[in-house]
Amino acid sequence: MERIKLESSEGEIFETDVQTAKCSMVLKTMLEDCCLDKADDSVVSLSNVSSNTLRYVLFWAEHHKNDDPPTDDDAMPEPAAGSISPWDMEFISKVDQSMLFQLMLAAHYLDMRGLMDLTCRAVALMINNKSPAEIRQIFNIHPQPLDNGE
Amino acid sequence: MCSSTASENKSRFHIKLLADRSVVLVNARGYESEIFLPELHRGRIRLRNVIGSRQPKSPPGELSAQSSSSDHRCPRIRNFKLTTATAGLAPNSGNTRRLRFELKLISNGKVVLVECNGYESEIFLPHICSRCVAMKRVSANELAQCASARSNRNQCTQKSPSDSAASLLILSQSAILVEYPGREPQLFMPTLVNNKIVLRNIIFDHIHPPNSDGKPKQQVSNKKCRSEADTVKRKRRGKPNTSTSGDSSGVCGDKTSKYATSRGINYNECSESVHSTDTKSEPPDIDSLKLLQFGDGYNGKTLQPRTDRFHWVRSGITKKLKPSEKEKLPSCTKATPIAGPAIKPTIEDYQERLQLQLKKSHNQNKACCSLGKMSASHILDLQDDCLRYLLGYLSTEDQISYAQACQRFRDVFIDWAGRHYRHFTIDEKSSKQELIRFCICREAVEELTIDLDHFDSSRALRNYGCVAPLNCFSILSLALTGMTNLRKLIVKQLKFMLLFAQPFEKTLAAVKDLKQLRVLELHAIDDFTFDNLGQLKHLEELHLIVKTLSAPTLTNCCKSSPNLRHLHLGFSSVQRILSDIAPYCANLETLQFGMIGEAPAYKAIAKLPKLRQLIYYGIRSSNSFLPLLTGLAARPQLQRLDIDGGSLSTEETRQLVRLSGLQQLKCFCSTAECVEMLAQLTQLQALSIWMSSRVDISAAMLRVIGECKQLQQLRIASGNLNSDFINDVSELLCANKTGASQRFLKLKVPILKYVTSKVVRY
Repeated sequence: MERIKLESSEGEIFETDVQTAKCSMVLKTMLEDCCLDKADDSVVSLSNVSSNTLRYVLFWAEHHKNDDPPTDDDAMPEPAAGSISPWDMEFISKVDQSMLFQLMLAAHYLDMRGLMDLTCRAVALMINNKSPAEIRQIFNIHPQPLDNGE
Repeated sequence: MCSSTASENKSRFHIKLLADRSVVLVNARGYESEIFLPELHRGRIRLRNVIGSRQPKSPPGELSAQSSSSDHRCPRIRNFKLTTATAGLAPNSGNTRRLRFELKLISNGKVVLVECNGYESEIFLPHICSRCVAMKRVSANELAQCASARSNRNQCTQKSPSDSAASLLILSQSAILVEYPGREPQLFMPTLVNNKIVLRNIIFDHIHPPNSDGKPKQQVSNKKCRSEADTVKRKRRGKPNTSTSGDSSGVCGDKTSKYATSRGINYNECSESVHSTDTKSEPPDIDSLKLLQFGDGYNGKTLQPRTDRFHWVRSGITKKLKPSEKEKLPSCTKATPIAGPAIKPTIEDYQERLQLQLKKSHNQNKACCSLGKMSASHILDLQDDCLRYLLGYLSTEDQISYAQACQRFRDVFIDWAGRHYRHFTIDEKSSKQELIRFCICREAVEELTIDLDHFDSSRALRNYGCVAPLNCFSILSLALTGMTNLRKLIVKQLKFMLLFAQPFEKTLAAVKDLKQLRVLELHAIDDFTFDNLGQLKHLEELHLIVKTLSAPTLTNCCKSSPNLRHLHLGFSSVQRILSDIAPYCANLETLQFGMIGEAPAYKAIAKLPKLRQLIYYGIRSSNSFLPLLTGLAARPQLQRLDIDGGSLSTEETRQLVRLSGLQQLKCFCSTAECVEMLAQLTQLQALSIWMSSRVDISAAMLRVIGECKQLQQLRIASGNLNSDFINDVSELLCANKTGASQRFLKLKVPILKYVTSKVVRY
């Protein structure tokens, strides 16, 4: 199977198969347009994704590499229907809040719809049925008065 | 030994011991960093610059002697056979294992002490020699003198250590990239020179080709270089190098032309071992690597070459070769086969696009995350896009809680949901959640319609609608004060209901400071007061379809809104007060009203200086418009006149036709003579006429059509027409046809047994 090298922001090289990398629409387009999958030494620098995050991203993508690709290529789609799969639930439950946000950023950066969907669902679960004060407490947001004093 | 120069006094050396205290890295502000390795020379320890060309030049004879001397002390090195597998690649550690140098930084890190088992220890001081940093052997006495002088200098020139701190990175365990702030990054690669392992500055070697034997290297043919390039490519693909000819022996000499200096290199291929049997001791891949070295401005760690376009990729930053740089490339490089179609976007394009996208996103962001450090340990570090996308996964209640958690969430929510609330209507169907969302997004609201039916107190007894009207309306009033973008407000009370006191006054008080509020429309069937109208200062269009309106209220309103251009008053809302407001409506262009009054009550309208459209509806007494029309005829600026009630008398008609600029007219007529007089309004474009009598107006209308060349719409709402009217109109239009110009007339006539409404075109 063809493989591709991804370089994290720390310069660490991660080698993964092309099918896994194609979970990212950015990488998928890049691979297809640049014919990188035919070049053995292709190293894609992901300067905004840390090694730790990239490790999680690739772990997730490895499991989801055979998923149906998203059809539209435009901006963020509407939230997909359905719930979180057991594997995803286990995956996302093992990451802390900080990693959850980093995964969301990486998913947004790499345009990984599935991972973005998962991370958003995870955050939405944390917000579900919570008051504004509870939301502030969950996310450690310093309480500040809103402009309108609400 | 070189003496210190004036520039040396300004420099400040920063010495580091690297590679388990076996390598000396010397940084100096304003100079390139240098790396020194300890070695034995004529029985003494010395620090040798890994770059051969930067070492002190010595006559060829001395060089040979030196070499032989070194060989004498290191016989195993002399006997070592270098192959293409090791030349330029990983150093053979077995050659240096015998001599163990101990390097120490002493004198507060200013001096390097080098010790070697069995040899006298030496002390080295950095200094500037020939615009390069060199290491000078000093005695203990010299050191003491230098230390005293240096301490004085340092007091004057000491700067932040970070200014001169250089970073050193081992690449693929076989090359060293040294980055120095403000200087070009330097790349060092271990290789063998004169049977000694040195770190060769690849960049410098390109500019000043190394010459270990003191003779200029021979230029190599393009074919030879291409062979080397192929060697590298084979290595990169992991294929063994099967070439054993002299061309692949590594003698591929350096080009003497100076290329654009590289700032790094992909050393993946360097760490790969290739087996061959060659006895040459020259670095074989220097020329081959040339094809990987171009581009400027990199300060990163790893570069990925793309031989198809001569691009370098570095951490998402792409640098393309300038044409001038391309010209400097050796021909062998240009002959490198192109991998992939050149017209397709490259990886660099995508990475550039990513950077731009990220930058744009960050520009829109209010988060404190910075470009290039895309880490989010806190939810507020997320980009707005992520926070906005998250909203789609929240229920309406959760969205409200989310928006109320902090200001940033609220801003994101407004940005996300605001577009749904630009035109918002509060009516009896509005839910509480909708109203809360509306209140949160109130800044995005541009047009608001409030049906007071929502606040009907009787709804408190029902299971839908507003259960606490007064509180709800108080919240709405509070929200109104913050609708900074509100341009149009409509408040309606269209049926009888139980309402709290003064809903209109409270509403007007809430919006009195909204500077964007231009259009206000109030509908009321009950008696309310509107005294707060006088506090609105920016109105341009006012519709007051209310039961009663006091004269002072309207007068104050016209006073406070000097830019009022459109005033619409409900029938009989005002009584005989037009003369009061006229002096304050200097910019009024459209007046729409209806009232039963005597002739003098209307006369004041004629004083409005900018009146363009006058629309009257409702009954009126006969001949009551005569003074008004007489006054308007004095300044024929009126463009539209609707008198939707009361037939024009002959006198009124006579004054009306003096309005020469009239383009639209709607009126009631009682005689054919009055209709015929309308033919004098030659600028008419639209005419709508009612006949209050059953006289035949066919001839009169034909004359109007014939005279009013601009007429495009003619509507005869009621009146008698003869059976030939349509044909007569057709003939008339044909007769009036001039040249190629066509005239259109949309004719609407009463449905008669032989007359139908149709469009006549000639």
